[in-house]
Amino acid sequence: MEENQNLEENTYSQEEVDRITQESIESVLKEVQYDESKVQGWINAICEKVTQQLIELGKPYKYIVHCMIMQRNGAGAFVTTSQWWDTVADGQIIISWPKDKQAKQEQQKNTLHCICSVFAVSMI
Amino acid sequence: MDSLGNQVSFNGPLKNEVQKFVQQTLHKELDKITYDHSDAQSRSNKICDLILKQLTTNNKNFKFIVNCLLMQKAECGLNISGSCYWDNETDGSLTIKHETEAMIGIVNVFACAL
Repeated sequence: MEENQNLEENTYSQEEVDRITQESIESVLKEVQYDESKVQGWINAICEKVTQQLIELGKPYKYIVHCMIMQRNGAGAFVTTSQWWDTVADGQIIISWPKDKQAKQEQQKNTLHCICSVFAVSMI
Repeated sequence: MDSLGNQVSFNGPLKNEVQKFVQQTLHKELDKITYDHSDAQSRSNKICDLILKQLTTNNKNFKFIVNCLLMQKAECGLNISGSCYWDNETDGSLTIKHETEAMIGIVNVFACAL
C-alpha cells in the first residue's frame, strides 16, 4: 500500500498537466485577435501560469514549458521534438490551440495559433 | 559526472560545441531547399534525430530534449518563449535560428543533468 502511494507521489499525471496547460492557454487567449504589441505579454503569461501550477503539484520533476504563438496567415509550419530520457518516468504534453472543432463551433475567425509543449524530467 | 566525480554543467564549453553542431546541421539540411509541406515533417524529424544522436554519443550524463520548428517564410508574426524549472548550475538550453530564402528553422536544445 505504501509502495503504491510513493509511486503516485513520484510520478506526474498526464491528465493533470494536460488540464493545467489547456486552462492556462484558454484563460489568456480566449477571444483575442493577434496583436503584435500584446503577444509577448500573452506568451509570457502562459509560460508563467503553467510553470507555477506545475511547481505547485509538488512532484520531484524538472519542468520545461515551451510556448509558440503564430499569426494565422496561411503559412505552413511543422514542430517536432526528440528526447533522450527515461521513457518510464519522464513525459511530455503538446497542446495545439485552438482545436479545429472548437474554432468552427465558436465561428470565430481565429487569427492566431498557439502550440504549447510541456516536458517533465524526473529527478529521481 | 566526470572521473573526479564532479557534476559537469551544460553551460560551459559543452554549450559552444552543441551550438556549432546545430548550426552546421541546419545549414546542411535547409540551405537551397524550398518549403514543401509533404516532406517538411520528415525533414524536421531528421534534424531532431541527427542532433540528438550527436548529443547522446558524447554525453551520457544528461537528459536531452530537442525541439525543431520549420516554418514557411510568410508575412506572419511568430513569438516563441520558454520557461524552465530546473537547476541553473548544471542545466541549460540553447536556441538557434537559421533563415534561408524559403523558410525559417528554429532549434531548441534543453539539457537536464542526471
